[in-house]
Amino acid sequence: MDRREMLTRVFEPHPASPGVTRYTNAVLRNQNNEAVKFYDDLIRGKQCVVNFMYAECHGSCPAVTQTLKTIYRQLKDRMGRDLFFYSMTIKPDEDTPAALKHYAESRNVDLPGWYFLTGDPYDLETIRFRLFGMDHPGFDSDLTLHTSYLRIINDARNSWGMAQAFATNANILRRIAWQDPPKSYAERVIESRARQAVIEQEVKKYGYRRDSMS
Amino acid sequence: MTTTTFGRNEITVHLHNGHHGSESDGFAGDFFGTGFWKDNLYPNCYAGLDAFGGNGDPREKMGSFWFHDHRAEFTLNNNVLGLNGMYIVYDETDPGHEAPAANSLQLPGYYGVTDFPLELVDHRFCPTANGRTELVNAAGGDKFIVNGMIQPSMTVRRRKYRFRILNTGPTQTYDLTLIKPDGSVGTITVIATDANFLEHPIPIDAGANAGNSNSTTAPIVPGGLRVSVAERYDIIIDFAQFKSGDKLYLKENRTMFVGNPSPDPLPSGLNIGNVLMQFKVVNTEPWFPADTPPIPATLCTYPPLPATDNTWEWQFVLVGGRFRVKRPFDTVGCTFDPDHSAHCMLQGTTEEWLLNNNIASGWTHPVHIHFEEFRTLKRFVNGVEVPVPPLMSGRKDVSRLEAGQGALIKMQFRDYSGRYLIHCHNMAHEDNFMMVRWDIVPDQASLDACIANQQICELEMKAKELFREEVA
Repeated sequence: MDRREMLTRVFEPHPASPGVTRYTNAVLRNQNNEAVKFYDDLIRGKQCVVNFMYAECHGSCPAVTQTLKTIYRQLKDRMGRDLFFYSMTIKPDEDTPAALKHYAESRNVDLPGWYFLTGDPYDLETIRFRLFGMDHPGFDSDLTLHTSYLRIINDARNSWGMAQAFATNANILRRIAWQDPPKSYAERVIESRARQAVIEQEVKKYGYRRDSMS
Repeated sequence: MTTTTFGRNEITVHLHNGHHGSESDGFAGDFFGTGFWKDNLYPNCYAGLDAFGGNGDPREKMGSFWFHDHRAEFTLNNNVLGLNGMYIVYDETDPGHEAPAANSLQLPGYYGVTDFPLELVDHRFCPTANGRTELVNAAGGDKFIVNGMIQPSMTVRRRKYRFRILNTGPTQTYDLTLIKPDGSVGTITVIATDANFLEHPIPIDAGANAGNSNSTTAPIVPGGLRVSVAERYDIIIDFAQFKSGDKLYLKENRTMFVGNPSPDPLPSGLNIGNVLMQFKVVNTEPWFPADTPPIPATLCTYPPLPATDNTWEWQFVLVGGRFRVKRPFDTVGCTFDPDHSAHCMLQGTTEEWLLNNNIASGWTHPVHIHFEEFRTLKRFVNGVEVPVPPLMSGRKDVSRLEAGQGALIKMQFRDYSGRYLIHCHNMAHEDNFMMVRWDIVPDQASLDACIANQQICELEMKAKELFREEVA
């Protein structure tokens, strides 16, 4: 499978994906006031980055939104095709679809593949706990701490990972890449050969494997 | 069952704490998926190859290693699902048998006969109070498991046995005591900490040797042996003092739910929920190896420590819900970045590192440093120096920092160069990025390059990136 095919292909969920039992199929509304089902429409077979925010936040959310905007630019070929951003509100009572639309437009982030989601508070709380909870009430429940982490999900691989929202952009990009769709054997062999060539070059030049300056 | 505990079929194998090259170290970012393989080279040598040649400095001997998956973000999940095991190395002083031999200490040493690993892990079977059913959560498991069994029973003969205790986590700390048939605390003799022989064996019990116990902060357990995640303690228990038919118990301080009463009457004061495992004493049969001589008073001699070339500090902090490792000049701290090192040093140097958990987070951080063993020079509680506890006086590779504690350690960086890690071995913290990379480099030019490309503390970097973004 080449890169182009990968970008246009609709992936099937992984056979072992827990589907709605983990992610729930809650009906949410995006900033365009469209009803979407969380698993069927947003997660199923897709790769996505989920964070929690609220529109009136003046703490860390604006910085996180700005970070995601930068990441979006770097990955814009994939955005809306097989990679999505979901910014979910933790204050659904305040954040109506219209409020989220205003938030997205005012920050120039009303972009394809980036959804701001609101819905029933119980549903959002359940999703937040399912994605971020390790039975740890601290993660994202406290309004002042709610943007600690980005959850990166790839349902086609049945895998997920995490990035700290305040890590460097390169670090976040790498963690998104760690959840990329499976590459073909041939593609991986080519990548490994290229990496080995770099290692050999470095060993020749410096006497040891540096691996760092990528 | 709704669960977030799924493994990740990508692995990187870390031999904890082998002295070997960086490429074989199981670096957290070096994972690979199905269809690929990797050869790790474990020379099983002593440290000091360059200075001593051959197999290194025999005074740096190690025994009870373990290996485990180190996949960034999924170390906990993959370890809970079983990707770990013990890796035991023998040499002439500890030859893996009990027959008299040159230089042999003649410790109990027939593996599987008189020498057993005890791997502790806790799993969750029943929901927590708030209905959570994950195997992985901050409350830990609800069942304590020894070598894959809940409350196993072991038949032991009236002689000495060696147990290699390993806590594979993923998050909880154990306080172990040996309960004698009369309900009192028995003596266990620690001979090795984190795979390194102590210079002199340390007996622990609730009586004369209570001062050697390391369960001295809350919860205080008289005569307890505290084992945090990834720590290993090789202990010897002498069952010769008991009579056939006696039953002894290894007790854990926390209580698990056990639905049935004990099949055997328990010693007074012991609750079935605290029983980790049972020892049934029988007479030694003629075919069973006879008892070994008494434990030698001196097990080994440590080499003197070289002069210090540099000092450094790592703080393990929880800032705004984020686990981070902080360097002296950082304001907030660093998360795990596989591409940049947070600290660089020249090969062949010696550094003193201050490990600090002085932020009042309430967490225990068992700090693990890859590559080589360290010696603890000083210990601190809330910034005040305290005597180094006996069980931390030996060489170790995990320094347990309870809330408010700190340690000044000394470590050599020799024989190999490359990238290694320092991290909190509470696997939930490690997977939440309480881990940084450090590099050993072979020459000054590499050191300059390494420092120039050093990891920049996240928040300052973020501010720069955001500023650039605004300007653009």
